Amino acid sequence: MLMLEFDSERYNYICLDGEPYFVFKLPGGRMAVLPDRCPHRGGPLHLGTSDCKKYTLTCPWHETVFLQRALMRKAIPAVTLGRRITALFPVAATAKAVLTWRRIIANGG
Amino acid sequence: MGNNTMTSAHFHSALMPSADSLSLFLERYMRAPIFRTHTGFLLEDNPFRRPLRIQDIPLFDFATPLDRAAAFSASGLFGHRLLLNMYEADLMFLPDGPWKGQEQDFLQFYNEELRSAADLIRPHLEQHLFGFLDQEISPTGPWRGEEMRALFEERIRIANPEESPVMQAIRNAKDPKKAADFLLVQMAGDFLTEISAMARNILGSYGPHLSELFKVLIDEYGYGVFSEKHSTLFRSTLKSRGLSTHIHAYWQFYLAGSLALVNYFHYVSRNHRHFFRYLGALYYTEATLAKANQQQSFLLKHLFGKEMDTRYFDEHAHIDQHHGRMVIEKIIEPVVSQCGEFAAAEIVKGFEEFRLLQSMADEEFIAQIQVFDDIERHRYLAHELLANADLMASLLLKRFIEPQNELSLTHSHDTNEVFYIEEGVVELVLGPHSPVTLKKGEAIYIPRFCLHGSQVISEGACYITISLPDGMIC
Repeated sequence: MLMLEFDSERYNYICLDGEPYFVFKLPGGRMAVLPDRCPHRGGPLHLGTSDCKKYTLTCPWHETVFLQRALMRKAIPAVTLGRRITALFPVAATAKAVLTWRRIIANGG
Repeated sequence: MGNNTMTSAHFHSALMPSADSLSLFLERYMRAPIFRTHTGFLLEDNPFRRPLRIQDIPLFDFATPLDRAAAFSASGLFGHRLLLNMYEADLMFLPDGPWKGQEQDFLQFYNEELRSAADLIRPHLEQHLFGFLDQEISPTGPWRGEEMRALFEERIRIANPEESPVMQAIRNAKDPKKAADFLLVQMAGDFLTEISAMARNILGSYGPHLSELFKVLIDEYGYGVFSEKHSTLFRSTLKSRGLSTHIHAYWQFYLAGSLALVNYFHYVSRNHRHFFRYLGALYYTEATLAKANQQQSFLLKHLFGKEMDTRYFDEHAHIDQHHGRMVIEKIIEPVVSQCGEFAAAEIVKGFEEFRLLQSMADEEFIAQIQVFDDIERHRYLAHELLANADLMASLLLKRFIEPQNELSLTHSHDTNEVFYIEEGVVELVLGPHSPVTLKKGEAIYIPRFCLHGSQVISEGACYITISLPDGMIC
């Protein structure tokens, strides 16, 4: 298991041995860490669109609509303290981690 | 169904007082003489009397949660004092010695009307003082035992440095003995009533986890032997330093952070919807206390020598190694196996919340003992500020004329202040052993959030307080 702690105002995209994850903003300001692979065909969920009233996220590839709570079942266990996020990834502790900042359309960016 | 239907949301809001009626209930609560009378900065043998600065009430808005930056502000200090009174009305106290007129105070402290008012005020106060934790700390995703354990291991490893910042600050203080005594005073608010909040969690029926928690409790209670009860051991510690052993003798010198640490455990223990947060907070303390107590014992022996009774710390340094293991292996992991991700996430939340509160309380303590060391610099600073005529002309001055012995109960301000003596002699107190005498023409700078009180020593005195603008950091 790999534990990463980072500043969510500096980094919002994580690649672990090539597997991508992104920081998704939930209603009420909470933050989750989600795999950036659509369960359908692996599309980039971070580029999808959110609907705040229906609590959905739509994949940009095939416009599959997911309830946020369904996606949350695949979320990475994470806890925020202010703007710091600590997340525990199901990969080897030696996995190569690359943290970056990207435009996350799913967060309204 | 029909017009008489009340949703659960309506039902809840009908029972909770509005912000306006909160003021009314607060005013009724504060009428009790036990909160108004005082005979000095130290309380005598009377666990029922907890003086509060009633005149400060209009300054505060207890209906609105404080943010993290203001958690230990003037409102935080006042609010935590108030909240501790409310929680401790559930605990049984008797004075240590023969009763000498405390009967009326006893009846007031446990007065039914007071308790009813407290029941209405308390939820607002809890939100005011602890609401920021919900904003700051939020677990997301499916927490399971494995991730929880991994997080805990890493946090505990970081929490146990070779020497904690508090120990370093005491060692490096100009008067380390005074700083160490001030730490013991902060601990008194919790350790003299030790484990009372835990005891709230051994009522009811929730399987073997309850019995495991009970084992921790009976260790703390000395197996029914009063001399071995941990609170008794702590009394011996205080006595060996010549400090008062009466419950809340140092009421006026508890910092907001120290009160917050005690109050948090009551908060998550009194309403069992927070039970899993309680377990997380409990694990954080038990897992970090063994090493912390070892350091404290070592430092106290180093400072005070053989006369220092460190049995409290030595006992905890030993038993908390067991308690840390018992809480995670015998309580938390079985609870998570039984109650799943919901419980695990809440346990993580409680663990992180207490970790945050402890670090905030440590920072506040270090800042307060730093003020003890900065007296001369703050005297100089005050005179520099007073000499700035343009600045002084733009600020609001409050003038106080007071008779001899007039005592201003300890409090803090949300702004930096200058305290200037126009006539007479006033003693400023920053701690139970930290008086600063100020004569006519003398002044001192008081940083924001710094705990302080004052007493007029001369026949009468006239002094001025000046609040400095926000952002004027000195």
